[in-house]
Order: sequence, then structure tokens, then C-alpha cells
Amino acid sequence: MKGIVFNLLEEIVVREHGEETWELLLDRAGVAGVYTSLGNYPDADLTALVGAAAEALDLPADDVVRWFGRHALPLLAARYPALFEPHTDARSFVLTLNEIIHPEVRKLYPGAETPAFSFDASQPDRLVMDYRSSRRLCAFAEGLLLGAADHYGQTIAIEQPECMERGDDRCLIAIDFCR
Amino acid sequence: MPDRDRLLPIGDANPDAKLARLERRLARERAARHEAETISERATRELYDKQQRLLLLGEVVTAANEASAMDGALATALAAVCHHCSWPIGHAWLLAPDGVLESSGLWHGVDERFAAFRAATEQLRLTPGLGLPGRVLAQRHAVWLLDFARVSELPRAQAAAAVGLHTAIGFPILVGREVVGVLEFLTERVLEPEAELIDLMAQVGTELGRVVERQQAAERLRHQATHDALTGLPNRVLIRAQLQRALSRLDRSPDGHTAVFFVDLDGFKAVNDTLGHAAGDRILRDVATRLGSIVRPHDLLGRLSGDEFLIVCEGLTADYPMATIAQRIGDVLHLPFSLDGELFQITASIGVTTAAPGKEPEALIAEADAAMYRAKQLGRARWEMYSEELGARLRRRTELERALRHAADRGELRLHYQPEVDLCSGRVVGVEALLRWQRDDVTVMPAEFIPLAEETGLIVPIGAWVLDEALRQAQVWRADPSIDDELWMSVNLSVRQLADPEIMTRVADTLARYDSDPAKLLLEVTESVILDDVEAGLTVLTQLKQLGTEIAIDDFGTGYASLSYLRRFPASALKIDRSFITTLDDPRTRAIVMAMIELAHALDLTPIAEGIETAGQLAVLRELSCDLGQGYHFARPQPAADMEALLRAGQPLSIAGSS
Repeated sequence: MKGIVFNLLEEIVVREHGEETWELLLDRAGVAGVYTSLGNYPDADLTALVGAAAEALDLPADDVVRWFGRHALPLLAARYPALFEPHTDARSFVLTLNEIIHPEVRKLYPGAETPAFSFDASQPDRLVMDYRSSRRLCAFAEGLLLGAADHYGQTIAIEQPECMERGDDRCLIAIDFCR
Repeated sequence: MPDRDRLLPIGDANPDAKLARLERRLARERAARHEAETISERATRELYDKQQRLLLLGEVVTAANEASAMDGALATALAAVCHHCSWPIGHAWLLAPDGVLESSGLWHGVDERFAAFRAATEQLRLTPGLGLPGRVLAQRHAVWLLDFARVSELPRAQAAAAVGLHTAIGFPILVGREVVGVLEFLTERVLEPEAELIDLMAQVGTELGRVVERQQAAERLRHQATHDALTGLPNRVLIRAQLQRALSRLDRSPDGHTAVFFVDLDGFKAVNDTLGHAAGDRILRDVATRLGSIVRPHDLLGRLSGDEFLIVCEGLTADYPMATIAQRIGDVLHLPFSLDGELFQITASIGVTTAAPGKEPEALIAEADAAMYRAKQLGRARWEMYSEELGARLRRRTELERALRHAADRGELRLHYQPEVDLCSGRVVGVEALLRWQRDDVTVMPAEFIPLAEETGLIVPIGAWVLDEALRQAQVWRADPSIDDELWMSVNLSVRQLADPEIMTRVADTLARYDSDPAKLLLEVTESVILDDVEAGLTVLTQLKQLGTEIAIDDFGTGYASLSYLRRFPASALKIDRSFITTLDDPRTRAIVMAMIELAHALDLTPIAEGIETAGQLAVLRELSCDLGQGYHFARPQPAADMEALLRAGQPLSIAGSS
């Protein structure tokens, strides 16, 4: 897992809940907590941090991850405005994931394992994404999608007809863009 | 540590203030870390971009080096640029011979969504300045178009708008300063021009230019291998290939005729010999230009060799018949040629044939050649159509040639002998060896095959056999005590044999082989020996004379040799052609024969009359003091055994005249 993800999480937790909470999460998760955006860290660190947060907040881990994604997006938008500016809505932004955003990620972090999405964009107000990743972070994807909708001032509804967490061999994320 | 305490500001002991200070420090550290990360990210990104560009260039260079055809290199370059630079669509234009850009049909990343745009693109032909590629062509450098769908004067603005394409970059494929093609890349994004990318594209364009350059070099080589250097016309190799294609088209669409014209200049050799090769070359180039001016653009015009040209016209109908074309060829070549201010007239003999499905190119060329040969025979400066009869003659000739080639090996060649007689005493003084060809039951006469042997060069080996056989026979007769050993043997030598560099050694070797006295060998050569090349002819004859052989001028009076050459001709005998003897009744002929005999005597040559058939002719010749003679009156040419009987008898032959 790329260090940037831990940095984003830290930034959000500190902003929303203060420095002490982050220190507490680090302690509870039993991780070192030294993360730089340039580094690469064990996936297990993120799982442990999410688990600690879920326990503290008494929430399902997926909800924590979704919350994290939704709040991470504006931070990404601030850091990489060039990726967001050409678009006026979340749909067209999301559709550039494979061609632009992930290639850009790989430029910054050589060797980054970015997930591959395939899109069904046949309906104008609906977008269906096929997500396959060993990390099973479909909830993070959902959170980012919600954040993107927030960013472009849109309302979306997300459902997952298929999910690896439920034993399917892929996650299918369906996004309905409300008018 | 008191010193340290003194440095602390007042109120330092306040824990809140301390905490606040630590938090500020933490925030500073965090900000410093972000800044370091940002700097590092930028460096990483730049490094990545550089690597990608190197990779891209590497791919293009490799493709350019390995490409045998432009298409492969272009396809690789399109894919590499699209991949490394994240431009979804790439397309290549190539410069057509008329200086207009045409789609190469090579695309990358153009899926069915862009079908309409692709179609709109591929039907365009862009002149310099028109559209993005046209601008690249005119400016010879990269052009970046932002939001080009809105630039209404662009030919594809609407098509681009319809599929949401916004930014386009085009850059030239350059060979030297020449644009030979344009690569364009398109994207739905709106992208500002990037100097580095443009620079990279320029390098890609240069690399691709090298492929074109190499291809052009290869094309030049191919052109050289298939074209005649002098006239630039297709050579025999290409003519044959294109004729083959024309013939296969004939199979598919039998509309109209396909005609082959074989054009041979009359007397071109004389032009070369008298005016020199440079002049000859200029005339050939001129001929090529003239022929080019009368054929249609899609007709095939080529140079077979020397002064032989071939024209193939397809789809001929009654509106444009073969006769018209043949006539035009003749007419256009008949106009005077100008060389250094002087005018020369040249004519051509033309053979025409029509192609039929299933024919071989070489067979067609041979047919047209045969028809041309016929035109030459019928007086030159004309055209002849190939016919089955001509074909049959050609086949007979070919068949004859093949048979003749093996005649000597199969022992089909024979020598017949005819006595040469002293007209005073009736004694046989010499024997002329005459070639016969025994094909199965038929005896083929020399007139039927010697010209062919001359033409094909077979006369050289055949002549060698004749000399060998004649001297062998002479040795047999010499060993026979009942035969006069003073007899000489006459053997004919052709022009072609004399031109053979081996002739001297061959004659000397053969004489040695049969232990023959050179003085008993009379080599008969016609006047034409010195007609083609006086000095060379005289040189060989002089050498033969020095070898000790005797030389006779054969068929005297039929050639056109200047009498002045006769003085230098190292001959000892002069054979008066039979045509004079058969018309001896005519007083004027008699006067000529008398003059010839006197001339011979004056030059110290022994006159020999050929073709004496009657006692009357014999009487006249005796009266005119002709020394020797031969002919049916004495004996027909006959096989060695018969001749031997005649020689053994030792009887003088009848010289009784009845004038």
C-alpha cells in the first residue's frame, strides 16, 4: 500500500478527531506509524488501522473505509488539480481512471499496483464498474466515488450487485447519477 | 544547565505554551515532509516522463531499423506514441506521388465509436495548407491544434465535433527537408501544447523518415534491376513479369485484345559503327521517348536489348486497332533524328502478335519477334502480323536448330566429295569436301541448314568437325598407293569460323593430327569475309597463309568486295561462281568470265570454274584458258567410298568439249 494512503488517512483523522486520536489508533493498531508518500507499506497496516477505528467508533470496517474514501477525495483534488479540472461532472472524471488517473499514479509511484476497472457506460445516467483487486477495497472505491460526486456537486446512489466480500469473484459497483 | 535556562523566554515553564510550540513544530515538520515529498514526486514524474520518451524513441528506432516496409514501422510508431503519451487515437498520412496527402489506412485506437471520423478522414486528399496534416506538410514542422472541432475551416471539424475529439497534434515524417508523411494524434481531452512532446515527435518523425529513405534506396535498387539504365524503360525482367500479369488479366476479363509489338530498328548496327556508341545511345533514348509519346499511359513499353523494344497494349478494340498502333510506331520512328545538327533517318521493322489466355510471356515475345523477323525479310521499314504459318516456320526452325545441335554427336553429318579437275589434262587435282546432313532417310542440303548454323553459331563446332573429317579422309587417300598423293583437299570456312579466336590453333592442330601437308589444304572463303571487318579478315587469312595452307576466294563475283582488297587477299585460287557458268551462253557473261580469268592470271591466282554442267560450258572455259573446274559434268558430290573408286581408277576425266 502506498504511503500516500496512510498520509491521507492521518490527515483526515487529525483534522476530524485531533492528533491524539491518530496516536491512539497507531497504538491500538500496533503499527509504527512512519509513513511517507514516497514509500510502500504493508497492506496489513491499513487493515489494522481501519480495524482499530471501527472498534473505537463501533462501526463496520467497510463504513470506516467508505468514510475515509469520501474524505480523501477532496485532499486528492487539492493535490492533483490537473486531473479534476478538465471535467464538469463525476461521470466523465471517473471514466478517465484507466487512461489517465492510474497512469499518472504509476508515473509517481513506479510499481504501484493500481486496480483495473472495466466500465459499462451504455446508459447515460448509470455507470457500472467492474472492480477486481486482491485488496478487496471496494468500499474505498465507493467512498471515493461519493467524494467525487461531492466535488462536482452531484448526488449519486451506489449499489453493489456483486461483491467479493460476499463470495463473488468480482465487485460490481453500479452508480446512478441523480438529476 | 543554567546557560540553557537563560536562553529560554520568560514564562517558558508554562506547559500550555510549550505544547503550543511543539504543535507548531510538528506542523512545520509535516509541512517540510510534504514539501520534500512534492519535490521528490516532481523529480520522479520527470524521470518517468524521460524514461517513457526514451522507451518510445527506442521502440520507434527499433521498428525503423527492423522495418522492411513502411507500414510496419508506422504501425509501431502509432501504437508507441499512443501508449507512451496517452493519446488515444493515432493515424498516418502518406504523401502521394502527386504531392497530396492521403490516408495510409493505418490507425491506432480508433474503435467503432470513431468510425464516422475515420471514414471522413480516409476520403480526404489534402493539399499543402489544408487541414491539420496539410498545415504540417506546408510548414514542415509539428502543428498543435486546440479544440480543433471548433475551427470551422478544417475539413474534419464537424466529424471531430460529432465524436468529441478536441485536441490534435500533427508532425511530419521528414526525409531531409522533404515531408513524406504526417502522423496525427487526437484526443477527447483539451491539452495545451507541450514543448517537450513536440520535440519528441520531431525525433519520431526523423526516425520514420529513415525508413522511407531506406525504402527509397531499396526501390532505386529494385528499379535498377528491372529497368534499362540507358532509357529508363522496363528491361526484359520487368517486361516478362508485367506481360505475365497482363496475360492473367486476360483470363479474367476477355474484353478487347492484348497485342504485343516487337520493334527492331533497321540498320542500327551501322549507326553504332559509323557514328559511335554515344550517338547510338542518344538515338536509343530518343526512340524510347518517341515510343513513349505514342503509347497510352497504361501501355507497357520496355527495351528488350540493343535496338529491340517491346510494347504491350491491352484492351484493344476496333476503335483502336493494332494496325493503327503499328502504323504509329513506324511513323514516329521514321521522322528524322537530329545528331549534332545533322539529320538521320531510321526505320523500324515491327512484329505484332495478339495474346491468348494460357500463353507464356516468352512465347508471346518469340511470336512477335518472329513476325518482326518476317518484316525484316520482306524489306524492313514495315510491320507484319504473326500468323500460324509464321509460327509453324518458327517451330520448324527451332526444331531444326535443336536437331542440328545434336547432328554431329549422332553422326548424322557426312562429307561428300567433288573432284576439282585440270581442264587441260582432265586429271583430278583436288577434292572439295561438301557437308551433308543425313537426317534419318533424308539428306538435308547445306542451303537449308548452313544459314541457320551460321546464325546460331553452330557453324563453329560443325566447321571444326568438317575440317577434321576432311583431313582424316585425305590421310586415308594419301596412304592409298593407287591414289595420287598430290591431291589437295578443299574445305569451306565461314565468316563466323574465321571470327572464332580458336581458328588458328584449330587448323594447326587438325593438320598435325593427320600429319597433313598444309599446302595440300585449300581453305575456301567468300568475299564476305573481308566485307564485315576488312583488317580482321585479312589478318586471319594472312596467318592461315603463313601456316602454309592455300586460300581460295569462293563464289567470286557474287559479293561486292572492292577489287583493291583483292590485291591484299593472300589467296592462290579464285573460284568463279556457278551463276556465271550456267549463263555462259550470254556473250556479256562470257566477257565477264573472261575478265575474271584474266584478272586471276594477272594476280597470279588459279581460276577455278564452279558448276560446269555441260560439255559446251567446259569447251568455252577451256577456250578462255580457265585452269581448273568442277561440276556435274565431271562428277556430282559423292560419298567417300564412291569418290575413292573414281580416284583409284586414276583415269583423266573427259575434257572433250563440243563448242
